[in-house]
Amino acid sequence: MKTEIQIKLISVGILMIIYTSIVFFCTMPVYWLMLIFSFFLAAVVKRRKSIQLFAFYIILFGLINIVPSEYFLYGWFGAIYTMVLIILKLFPLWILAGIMSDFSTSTMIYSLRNIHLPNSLCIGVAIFFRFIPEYREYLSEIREGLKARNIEITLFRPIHSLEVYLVPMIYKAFETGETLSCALITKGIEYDCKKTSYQDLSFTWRDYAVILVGLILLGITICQKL
Amino acid sequence: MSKIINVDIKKFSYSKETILKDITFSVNKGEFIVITGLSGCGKTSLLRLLNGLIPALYDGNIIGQISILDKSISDYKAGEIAKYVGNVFQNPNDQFFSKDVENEVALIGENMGMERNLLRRQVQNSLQEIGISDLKTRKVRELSGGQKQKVAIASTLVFDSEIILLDEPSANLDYTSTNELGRILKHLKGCGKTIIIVEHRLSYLFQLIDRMIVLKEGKIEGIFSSKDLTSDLEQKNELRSFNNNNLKSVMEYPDDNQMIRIEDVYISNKGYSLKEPVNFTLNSGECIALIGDNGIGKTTLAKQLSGIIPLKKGKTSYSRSIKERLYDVAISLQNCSNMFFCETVEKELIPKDKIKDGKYLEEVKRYLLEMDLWNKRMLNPHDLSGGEKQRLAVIIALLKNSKLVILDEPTAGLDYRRMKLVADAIGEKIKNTPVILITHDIELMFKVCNTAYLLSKNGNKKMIIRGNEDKILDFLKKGK
Repeated sequence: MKTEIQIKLISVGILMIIYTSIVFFCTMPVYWLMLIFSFFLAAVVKRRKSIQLFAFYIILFGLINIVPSEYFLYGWFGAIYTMVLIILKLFPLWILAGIMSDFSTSTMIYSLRNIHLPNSLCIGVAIFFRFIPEYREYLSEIREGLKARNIEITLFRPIHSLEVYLVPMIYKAFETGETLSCALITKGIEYDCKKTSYQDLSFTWRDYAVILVGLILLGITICQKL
Repeated sequence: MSKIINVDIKKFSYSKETILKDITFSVNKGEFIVITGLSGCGKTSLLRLLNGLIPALYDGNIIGQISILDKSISDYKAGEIAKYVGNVFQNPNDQFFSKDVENEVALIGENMGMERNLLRRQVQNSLQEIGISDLKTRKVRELSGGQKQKVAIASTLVFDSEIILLDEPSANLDYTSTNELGRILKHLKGCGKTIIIVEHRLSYLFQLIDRMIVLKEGKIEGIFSSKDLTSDLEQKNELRSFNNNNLKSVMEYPDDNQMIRIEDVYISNKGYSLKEPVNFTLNSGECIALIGDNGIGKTTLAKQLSGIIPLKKGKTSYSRSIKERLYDVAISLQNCSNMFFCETVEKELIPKDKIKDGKYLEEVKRYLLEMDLWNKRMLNPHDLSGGEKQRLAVIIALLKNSKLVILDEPTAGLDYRRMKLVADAIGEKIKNTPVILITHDIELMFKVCNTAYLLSKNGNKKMIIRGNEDKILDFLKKGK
C-alpha cells in the first residue's frame, strides 16, 4: 500500500529555501539540527529512501574522517575530497530534494501555480522532475544499442564516447518532450480557469510545524551572526 | 441524426508541402470511424487538426473549416476543446505526465478546474468503467503497454468527453492486448461515444467499424461503410487484413541442413526467469517466429542469444562466449532508435573501412531502394518517422555478416506495403542465414516464417506453421 504523503510540497519548498539561505553561514550545532530534521522528515514520508540516504551519509562521513586529510591536499584527490565535503555540507538539502521528487508531477504543478508562478514555468519545472527517472533508462537502452552495433567505448577517446551517449539522449528527450506536449495540450493544460487539485493540498498543523522549525533555525543563525 | 463533427478542408500545408487536399466529411454522433491509408498519406495530420494540436503545437496553413459540436474549432478557447475531445496516443510510454495512475487520470479534471469531490468520484468511475480499479495506486511506468493504453482511455472518461480520438493505439501492443483494446472500444461504442481512430491494423476493429475513410496522398480515396469492407478493397488499397482468422501460411518447409542449435538455454534477467529451458534447431532457409505472452521473456532471450546480456546456462552452437555472440549475431532491437549513432542514414550503414568496397556499397544501395529509404539516405536517422527507423534497423541487421539474424518486432506499426517490403527482405536473407523473428504481427508471421517457437510457462515447443495456423492463433489468444 502506498502511504499518503502527509506534508505538503509547499512547506518542504519553504523549508528548502530557508535551508539554502543559512546552510553556508550556520554553526555546526545548527547544521546537525538541520540534518536530523531532514532525516526525520524523510523517514516520515518514505522510510526506505531515508535509510538509503542515511547509509550513504554515514559512508561519506566515515571516509572523510578515517582517511587523514593530508593525503588529500593536492591534485585529483584534493578535488574529490573537497567535493565530498561540499556534498556533506549540503546534505540536508539533498534529502529535501529527495523528498520533493517523490511528489506527483501534477501536485507539483498545482503547488507552484498556487504561489503564482507563471503557468509555463510551472510546467517546465514539473516536466524536469518527470524526466529524471527516464534518463537512467535511456542510458541502459543506449548501452544495449551500442552492443548491438558492436561499437566499443574506450576511455582513450573520451569526447567520442560522450558524443555517442549524448546525441541519442538528446534526440530521445526531444521525442519524449514532443509526445508529452501533445498529451498535455490535448488535456487542456492551457485552459484559462481556476485550476483544482486531485490531492487535498490545504495546510495542516504538520505543515505549520515544519515551517516553524525552519524559522527557528533561521532565527538562531541570525542571532549567532549578529 | 446530428452531425457532431464537420470537416471541410480545402487545403492544408506545412510550409510548401501540401499534406491534405479536399477533405470533406462529417461524423454522426455515436459513430465509429476508422481512418487508414499508407504511412505518409496525411492521416496523422488530419487527426492533429481534429484535436487542435495544429495550430496549438504544430504550424501549418489551413484553408477550410472544421467544426466540432456545431462550433468552429478556432472559436474554442485555448485548451477548452479537451472537455469534448479525449485523446489516446500511439506511444504508451511518453504520453504520461504523472507518476501514478490516479493522478494521471485526474490530470484533465485538474486542468479544467473540476471540483475535488466530483473529480475524485469521476476518477473512481472512469477506472471502474475500463476495469482497472486495481491499478489505481500503481506507478504508470511499471505497467504493461496494454495497461498504459487503458489508463489513457480512462482519462478521456473523466470529463465524459463525447468524442474520443485514437492515434494508432495498438502500434506497441501484443496480440492479446490488442484484442483487449478492441473489447474496450466496443464497450465505449456501446456507451454512445463517437470514436475516430487512425490505424493500420484493422482486424481487431473489423466488427466495430461504421465507416472507414481511406486516405491516399492527402486525398480521400473513398469512404466505405461496413458492408463495403471486402478483401477486394483490402488488396486494392494495400490495407492490413480485415480478418486474421482466415490467414494462411505461404511458406514452404525449411531444408534438412542444420545450421544453428540452441541447447538448454534458460531465459533469465534481473530477477526474472522462465523455468522451462529453450531448445531448438534452425536449418538453412528457416525463419522461426518466437511467440508467447507479454513478459514471458522473448526480448530477453533475443538479447541473451545475441550477447547483449549474459547467458547463464545453456549452449549455442554458433558461438561459445558472449563476445563471439556479439560479433556473430545480427540483431535489430525493439526500441530501434537506440541503434543509431551517426549523422546520416548512409553513414549509419557504411562503416569507414567499407567506404571503397564496391560490392558492399552496391548491397547497401539495393537495400535502401528495396526498403523505400533511398530518398532519405542523407537524413539524420533520428529525424526519420517511426516506420522508417524500423526499416533502417532491419537493414542494419541484414547487412551485418553474421551466422544468425534476430529481429525484434520489426513491423509494429508498419502499413501493409512496408510490412511486405520487410517480409521480402527477410525471405531473401534466409536463403543464406537463418532468422529468428519476434513478432505479434500475424500477417508478417504467416508471410515469412516456416516454423514457430511457442514460449509458455507450461513448456516450450516448436511447430511448423503451415497447417497449424489455427493452433498458433489459439496459442496467441490463450498464451499456452
